Amino acid sequence: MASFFFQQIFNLSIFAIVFKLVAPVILAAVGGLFCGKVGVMNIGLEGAMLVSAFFSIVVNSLTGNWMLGILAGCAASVFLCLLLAFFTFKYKAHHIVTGFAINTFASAITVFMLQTFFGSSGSYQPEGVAMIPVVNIPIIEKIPILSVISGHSLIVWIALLCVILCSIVFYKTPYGAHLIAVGENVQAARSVGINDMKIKYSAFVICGILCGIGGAFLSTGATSMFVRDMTAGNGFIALAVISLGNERPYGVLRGGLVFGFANAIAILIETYPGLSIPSQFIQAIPYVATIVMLTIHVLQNNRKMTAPVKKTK
Amino acid sequence: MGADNQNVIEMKDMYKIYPNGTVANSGVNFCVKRGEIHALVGENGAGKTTLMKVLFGLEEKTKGAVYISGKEVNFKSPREAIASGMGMVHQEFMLVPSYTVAQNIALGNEKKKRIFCDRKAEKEQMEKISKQFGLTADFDEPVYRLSVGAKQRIEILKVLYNNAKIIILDEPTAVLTPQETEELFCSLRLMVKDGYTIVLITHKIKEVMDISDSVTVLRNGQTIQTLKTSETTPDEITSLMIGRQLKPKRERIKSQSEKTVFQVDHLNVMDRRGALKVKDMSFSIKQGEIFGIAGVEGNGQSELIDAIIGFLKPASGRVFYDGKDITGISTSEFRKEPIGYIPDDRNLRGSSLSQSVAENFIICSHSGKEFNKGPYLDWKEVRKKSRDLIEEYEIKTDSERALVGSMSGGNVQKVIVAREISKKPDLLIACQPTRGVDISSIEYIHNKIIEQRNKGAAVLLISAELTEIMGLSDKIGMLYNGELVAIRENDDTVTEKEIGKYILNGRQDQDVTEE
Repeated sequence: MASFFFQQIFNLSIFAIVFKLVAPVILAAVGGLFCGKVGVMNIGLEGAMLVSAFFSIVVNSLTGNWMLGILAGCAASVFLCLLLAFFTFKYKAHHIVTGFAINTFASAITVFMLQTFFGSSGSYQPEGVAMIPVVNIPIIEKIPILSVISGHSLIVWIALLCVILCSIVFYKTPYGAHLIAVGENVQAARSVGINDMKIKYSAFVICGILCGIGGAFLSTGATSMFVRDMTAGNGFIALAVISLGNERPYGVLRGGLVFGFANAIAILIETYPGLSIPSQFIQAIPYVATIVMLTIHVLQNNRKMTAPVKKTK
Repeated sequence: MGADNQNVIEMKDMYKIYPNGTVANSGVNFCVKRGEIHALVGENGAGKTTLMKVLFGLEEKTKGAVYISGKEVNFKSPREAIASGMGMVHQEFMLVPSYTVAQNIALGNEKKKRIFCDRKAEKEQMEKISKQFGLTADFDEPVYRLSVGAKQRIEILKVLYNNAKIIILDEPTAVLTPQETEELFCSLRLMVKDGYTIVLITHKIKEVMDISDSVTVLRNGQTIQTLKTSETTPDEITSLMIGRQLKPKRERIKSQSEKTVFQVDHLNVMDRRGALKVKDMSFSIKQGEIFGIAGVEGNGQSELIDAIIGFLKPASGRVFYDGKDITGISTSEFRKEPIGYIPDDRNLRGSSLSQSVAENFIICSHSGKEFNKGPYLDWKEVRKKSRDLIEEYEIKTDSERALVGSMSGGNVQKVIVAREISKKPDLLIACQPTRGVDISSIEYIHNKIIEQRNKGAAVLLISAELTEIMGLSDKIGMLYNGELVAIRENDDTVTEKEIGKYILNGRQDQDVTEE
C-alpha cells in the first residue's frame, strides 16, 4: 500500500486533486476573511457558494459562455451576502442566526428551482456546459517536476491571486487599514470620519464575489453538473481554514492546503483497490484532520496568550 | 471685535434632546476665543460631552446655532468637523489595539502613493509634530502594549496630524498619573503658544486653575457662567458647578480601639502569567482605622485585592480577618463575612448593568434569609429595602426598577457603596471608590467612608488619587512595584511630594526628575 502512495505522490497526481479541492475553499475563506475583519463571522459562505453553483451552470448552459456563468453566479452570491449584511447591520439581527437562515434558504431555493425548471430532485446535468478553461503552460508542462503547476483550472490561479491581492489590500492600502479598524474599534474609525457602513457593505460585496467564483468552479470547473447541496460543507471548512490561518491571507492559504492534502489522501485511500475499511471512515479523514489542526492551533494560541510578555522599555 | 480676539467657536442657545426624552442641553451658550485654553466644567450629566459631540458632528443638535470662526456650520459627521480644522480627543481611547502607533495616527487620513499607503511620508510628518510639541512616541510599537499615558499622547498626535487647529479634549487626565498630567499640560501650553485653540472638558478644579484662561460652567444642561480663570477662585467654580457650597468634611474621631481587624502577613502574589506582582507585603488595620494604599495603578493593587477576595491564590504569606486565617478562601465564603468590598471597576465587577437597582442591591444576599420567602425571592421586601437605600444614599433614579446601565457613573458607584455599607461591615475594602465620579458624589462617598470608620469599621482604601488618600487615611502605605516601600502615620508632616517620591521612585532619598 505504501508503494501505491509513493507512486501517487511521485507522479504528482495528488497535487492536481489537492488544488482542485482547495480552490473553492480558499476563495470562500478569503471572502469570509473580509467579513471577519469587519467583525462578522459569515456562516452564510456555504449558501452563497451553493446559489452561485446553481445559477452559474444554468446561465452557462443557456448561453454557452463560462464567463457569463460566473457572472450570474457572482450576482446571486452577492445578493445573498448583501441580504445577510442588511439584516445584520440594519436590523441588528444576530449574524449566526441570519447566516443559518441564508444557508437554509439557499439549499431550499436551489432544490425548488431544480424541481420546477428541470424536473429533477437531485442533480442537473445539462448538455453543452462550457467548462471554465484549464491553463496549460507551454514548455513547463513538459518539464518533469515543474509540470505540476501546469494543467490547473483558471480558478486555481484566481484563488491564488486572490490570496496575494487580499494581503496587499489588507496591509498596504488605506481601504484595508479602514476595514480592519472598523472591525477592531468601530468608534475609533467613526471618530476619524470613516463611514463604517460603507466599509461593512463593501466587505460583504467582495465576499459575495469570491464565494460566487468558488461556487461557479464547483459546478462548471471541477465538474459539469449541479447536485443538491453540492457545497457539502465547503463553506464551513472555509471558516475553519480562516481560524487555522490566524485570520491572515497567507495563513488561509496554508490552512487550505492542509485541508486539501487530508482530503486528497482520503480520496487516494478510497480508490486503493481491495481495501476493506468502510468508506465512511475514510471520508471522515479531512474533517478529523481539520479538527485536529484546529485543536493544535487553539493550544498554541493559548500558550502564546499565557506566556510571560516580553518587557518593553 | 479685534481680529485676534475673535471667537473661533460660538454656540448659541443650544438644545439637545435625545429620542428617549433625555434632555442633555437646554439653552447652552458657549464661546471660545482664538488661542486660549478654555475649560468646560460641570458635574457628570451636566451636558459637557453632549455639547462637544454636537459640535463635532457626532450628535445632531435639536435647536441652536453653531459658528466656527464666524461662519455658521451644521456638521453632519466628524469628517466635516475634521475638514474645518477641529479635532477631538475622546474620553475613551479611539485606538485600534493591533495597529502600530503610526497606523493609528494616520487612520482615516492616510497619505497615498498611487493606491498604496505611503507610510514613510506619514511618519516624517508625525516625527515633526512629535518633536515640535514634546509628544514622544514609539511609532512602530503596537498600541495595545502602550501605557495609558502614551495612548493619550497618540490621541493628541492623531488630532494634530489631521491638521486640527481647534482641539477638544474630553477629560484627558481622568486616567493619567500626576506626572503624566503635567507632561500633557506642558504640550498643551506649547500648542497654544503656536496658535492652537483648546477646549478642555474636566471636573477637576485644580486643573482648571492650573492651565485654563477661561472657564465655562454647565449645570443641568445650561450655561451657568463664563469666567476668566484669573478672576475667580476654586470655591466659586465649585459652588457654581454643584449649585451650593460643599458640606464640611465629617469630623474624624480618633479611634481608641487597639483591636486588629485585618492583617496581611508577608504576602506574595503572582498574576495569571506567573509574574510576581505583590512582594512580601505586610500590614494590619485596627478597628476604626483607615489604611490607605497610595500608588500608581498597575503596581500590584489589583493582585493584592484579588488575593484577598479569593480570585487569586497567593503564592505565600497569610491573610487574617478577625483573628481567623482567611488565606485563599473562596470568594463565596469571603462574601459571607461582614466585609464590604467596593471594586475598582464598577461596570465589570461592581454591578450588573443589565439588571435593576433592586437586583443589584441584593446581588450578594439573595440566598440570605432576609429576602427569601420559601424557595422564592421576597420581591416586596427587596423593593422596600431598595427604596430605603435609594433615599438614604441620595441615588438619582426614577425607581428601584431602573436599569443600572442607564445611570450615570456617580450614581452606579453610590448603588455599590450603598450595597456594601448596608451589610454593616466591620471591614470595608474600597478600591478607587471615587474614580470618574463627580464632585458631589465624591463628597458623599468620602463622608460615608469616614462614617463607617467612626462607627468602628476597619477600612482598606486603595486609590491612585493622592488627595483622596491624604484626605481620608489614618495610615498611608506607599506602594511601588508590588512592595509597600513605606508606611506612615497620616499627620501634618506628610506631604503630597513625599508620597509622590515614594510611589514614583520607591525611595525617598532620590529626587523626582525635574521637569
